[in-house]
Amino acid sequence: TSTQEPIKIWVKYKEGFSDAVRKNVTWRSLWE
Amino acid sequence: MPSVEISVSQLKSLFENSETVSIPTRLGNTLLEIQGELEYPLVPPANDVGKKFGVHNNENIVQFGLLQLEEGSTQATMLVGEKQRLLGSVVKLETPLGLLKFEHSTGLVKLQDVIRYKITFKDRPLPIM
Amino acid sequence: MVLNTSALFAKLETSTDYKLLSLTPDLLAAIERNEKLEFKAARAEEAVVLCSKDKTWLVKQKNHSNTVLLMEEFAPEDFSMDFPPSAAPYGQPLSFHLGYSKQNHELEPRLTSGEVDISLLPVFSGNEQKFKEFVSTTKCVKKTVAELRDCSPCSALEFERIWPSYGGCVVQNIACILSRDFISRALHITLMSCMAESLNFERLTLKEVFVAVNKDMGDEGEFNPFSFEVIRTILGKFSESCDNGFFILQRKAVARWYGIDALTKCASRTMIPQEEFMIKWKSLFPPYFSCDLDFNALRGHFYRPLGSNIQYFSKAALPDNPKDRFDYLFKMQSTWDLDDMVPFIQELNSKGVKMDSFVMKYARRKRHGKRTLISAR
Repeated sequence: TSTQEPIKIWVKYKEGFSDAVRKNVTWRSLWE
Repeated sequence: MPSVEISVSQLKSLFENSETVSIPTRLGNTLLEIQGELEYPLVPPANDVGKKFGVHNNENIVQFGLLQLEEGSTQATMLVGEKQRLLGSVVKLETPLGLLKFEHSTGLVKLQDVIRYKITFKDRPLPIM
Repeated sequence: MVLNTSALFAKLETSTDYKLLSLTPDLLAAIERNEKLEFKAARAEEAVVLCSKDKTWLVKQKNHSNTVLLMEEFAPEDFSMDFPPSAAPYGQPLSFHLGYSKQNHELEPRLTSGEVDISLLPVFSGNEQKFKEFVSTTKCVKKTVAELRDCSPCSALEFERIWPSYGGCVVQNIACILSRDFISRALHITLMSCMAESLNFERLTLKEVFVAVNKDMGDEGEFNPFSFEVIRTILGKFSESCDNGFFILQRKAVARWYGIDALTKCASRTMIPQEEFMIKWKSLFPPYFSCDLDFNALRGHFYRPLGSNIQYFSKAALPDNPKDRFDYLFKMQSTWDLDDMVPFIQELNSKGVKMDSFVMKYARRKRHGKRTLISAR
């Protein structure tokens, strides 16, 4: 039907890039 | 007992002759990086007029874009959805990345590939012209 | 100009089975050498390390906010391609790529030192019956050495070095730590037996030493605490193993062990003059065993209550807090030679600055010829 939303396939751009956080990996989280 | 050996058996051939490297690895993997989030519906919509959704090996897939690489150049262009055009480049990774597969059913870890290049899009998307 | 156009697809439900690991040059080299690589952790909630044959890396997770898609070439089945008109200038796709996994982090290895946690292991002091009782009645860790190795954040070669250095051993198939007293007894008997059999301390083999030690042991059937495993620990702790299977006795390590024994025996309740101590130290060794006695090697185990005479002191008594620790040390001894003090404060210097600068933070420093004297502020 014509009332449906158009399908959204797009890139939601992010102004900044962050990779500052580094944390330890536990055995459990390694397998998540 | 929390320890697991990383199996590298699949990679032996890679190291025997690692002179030639290309964007897709010799095992066929390509790493695509986009600054921001690539968004698409996580269930196939009813109104798929653009015929973007399909099934491959019993899994739902979506066609989200087109990628164009120019031979002999590091420039890359990507169209996403109906409206966006992104300009990016092929870059060599400072540190190669190992692709690890964690097999939950068997508890095994396999080093499946070594990725040395990525196609990266860092700039704000442009409208398609 | 040749353009390669590829149609990009992604799975709606991407796989979470994949992770990306930064392959630093040393790690890459280990892979190329075909070394066994392992992820290890002490327990499920503990930090994961990555181990090669001889190195240990702590694994850090670096989260990022980008979309990172792992893609592989594929042939879409039964797919009616329909491109927007705007894509026309880009030509028909020659290939098809399918994104199968999204990555929101990378694993980064950081070189570290392998560790073995021995804190909950049972202690063996030479009496097998007592050990049996202890193990069955207390909640100590009961593991085989292989099990301990598997759960230690430590590479195989590091483990081989660290384990005997801690006095690690096997009794009744359980990984345990030999008590200080028992190590002293076993070392003494080992040295005496090797000398009695005229073994070459530069070329020892485990088997020869074991046979030598057991030659003088009591009747058959009588329990003998100096098992093959105990001798293995003694050699591992006090000698260096060569590639050809021989052990070279490390006389410095032996001398230091006897020195600390001498401190606890002769200088633990009261202080004694250093010269007198040296004589007592010398007297503890088996007759005719030769080694140099370097008093400075005993730093970290003694203090000088009145500045000159020495007295045994165990580092374990020191407070963890840096300020409290300095206060404690100055209460014991008002002025320290920096070199005597360093072993007691070294671990506080987490940033690794030069020691004589580090002490300035908590104490007063004075140069006295070649010596550096440290006192309270």
